[in-house]
Amino acid sequence: MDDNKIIELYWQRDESAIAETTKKYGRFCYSIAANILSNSADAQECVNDVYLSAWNSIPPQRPDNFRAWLGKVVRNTALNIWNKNHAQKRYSDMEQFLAELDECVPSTGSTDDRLEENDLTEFLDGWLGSLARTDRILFVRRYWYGDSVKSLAGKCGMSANKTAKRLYIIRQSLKTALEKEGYII
Amino acid sequence: MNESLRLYRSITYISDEYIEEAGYQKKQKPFWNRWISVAAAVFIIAAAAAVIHPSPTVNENNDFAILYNKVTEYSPDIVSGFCIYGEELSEAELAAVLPDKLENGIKVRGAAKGYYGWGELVYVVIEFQSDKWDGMVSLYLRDINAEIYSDIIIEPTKIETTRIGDSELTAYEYTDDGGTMLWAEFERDGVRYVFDNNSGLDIEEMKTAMEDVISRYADVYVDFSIFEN
Repeated sequence: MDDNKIIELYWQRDESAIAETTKKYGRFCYSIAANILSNSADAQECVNDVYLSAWNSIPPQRPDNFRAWLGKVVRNTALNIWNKNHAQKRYSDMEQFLAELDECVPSTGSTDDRLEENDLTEFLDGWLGSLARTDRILFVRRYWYGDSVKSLAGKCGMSANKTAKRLYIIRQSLKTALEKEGYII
Repeated sequence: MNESLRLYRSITYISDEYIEEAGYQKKQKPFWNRWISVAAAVFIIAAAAAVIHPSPTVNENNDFAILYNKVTEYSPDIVSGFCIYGEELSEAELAAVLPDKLENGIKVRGAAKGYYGWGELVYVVIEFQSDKWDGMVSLYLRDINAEIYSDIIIEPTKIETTRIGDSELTAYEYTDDGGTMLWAEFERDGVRYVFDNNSGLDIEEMKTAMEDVISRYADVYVDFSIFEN
């Protein structure tokens, strides 16, 4: 079903909106959640929460890009679950993401230069726009979709080792860009 | 860790455009088209495997087809090996690449487009065959703006240059565990033309084959926009 029609179902308070969302984007949502939470039960709980969020948010919202909007809600919800549970549970994938992104954090700068979250996203958009397309896709697949390095290697036809090296170079590029602007995170 | 979490959370809100760009979704085809594609691609692979280098590998994650896992990127000093997802070129796409050129003893044995797993077109490959060359030559047509990751780097053992018409063409010979590989390339109007020797020709035979192909297919040109969905 077309995204606009699904959104219209939400606006009409028709519960089949959730069934249609599940049918079209269930797997997409689950994969993002599972990549962050490394736990099938938590990922499923996350996806169920996302459907509830969609039901509660549309209306009044009318997302321009339903797929990307859903993905962002999944990430947010998964991060909240991670925040709540990570002291008790071990989420190895998320820990790996954070360890990798830790390499991007500049060591210089002052607290006055700390970026607000919105500004940081704006900065990231600008930095992503400056990357070669393949590097940009690699970064987004790894840190937005949460693809494993092995899976990414298959998609771009490189060895896992080479893919990891490429991602390292991209992370260093982000760190350099942040340092150049004198930002800290 | 707080900083990296903050960064991770900010990545959530990057532009939809970048999320979509990276969001590869497999093309949906009616199952009969799909089987035709598979059959044609298998034919191409089988034909290639019979005369090319070592056996091509099949990526189990791909429903369509695979070309080769080796010998696909070319530059003066490197050979790169990488997996590419392959899909048969449609008749219309082939006609757009080779309008009215299927004649004079050169056959097009197979044609396919290769792309990365997220759907980015990397190149178009056409396999030519002629009794005169006692083998098969592949012509890769690649948008030079498309960045291709390399994985295997091998120094060429022999390099020769020659002119064919307006084009200066460089031939490279490489040797690795799979035996000797040979190809030649030139660039024109933003497209890199790469000839890959698939059947054990030496450089002289390769040049003859390429001259033959280029003379008959002098205006072969790929407008990569025809492959955009």
